[in-house]
Amino acid sequence: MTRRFPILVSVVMFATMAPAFSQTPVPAKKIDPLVGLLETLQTKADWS
Amino acid sequence: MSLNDLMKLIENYGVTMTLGSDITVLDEGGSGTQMLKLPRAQTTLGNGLQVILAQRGYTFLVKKSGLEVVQLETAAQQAKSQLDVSGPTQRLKSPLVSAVIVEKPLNEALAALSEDHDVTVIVAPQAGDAKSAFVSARLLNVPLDNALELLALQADLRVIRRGNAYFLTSPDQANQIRTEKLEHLRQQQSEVLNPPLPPAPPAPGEKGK
Repeated sequence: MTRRFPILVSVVMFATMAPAFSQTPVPAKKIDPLVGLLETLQTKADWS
Repeated sequence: MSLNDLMKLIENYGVTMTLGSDITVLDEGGSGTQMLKLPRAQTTLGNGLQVILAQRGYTFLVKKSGLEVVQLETAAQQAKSQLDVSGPTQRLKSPLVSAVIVEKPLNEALAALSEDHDVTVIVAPQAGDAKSAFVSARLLNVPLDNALELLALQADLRVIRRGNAYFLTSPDQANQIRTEKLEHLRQQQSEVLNPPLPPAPPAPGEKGK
């Protein structure tokens, strides 16, 4: 029983922590403003 | 369309356009000012802007925060480029390129540049696998000649310009082409300096023979 105790604790800890990890927000990828500007320049414009 | 109208139109696309310090008189679009002609309907925002601004001798520089309208002379100075004054309207000898290329095969990067700037770019078969070598570059207002060279060098290729067309090939073939051209020029020069002698008149004694 004493040998299994650490395993049990790990299982319980994982079960309690896992939802918290899954809810951690993924840091948004930094968007290069220059890329956005260059993409806009490539769009077809309405010149009428 | 006046310059003010143009700035408003650009703002609709979420792009900030400012006037450079070299443009002192703001065109208000009054009756005395010449209206700017609009480009074709399907032109992209960037190319259309170039066409419109060129009518006033202006162009734009790409900055991190937006676009800056400047005189062509200023753009040429900043980009270490030259002005072409041979046509009816002055323009930059080599258009300015702004692009962010991240780990892209060379042939794809070249195709995008040639499409954006209406130029012909050909990669020689002698380039071999180098044409699909991955290249990266962050180009801001770089003359097209230099931009192509910077990309070509990443794949160990060389650029040869013929008119408004660019040919990318291996260093060996590029050297061979340059040597042949140099030989041809030398030959032409020597013909100009030493023109062939006219045929000698017949000697008096030979007349009637």
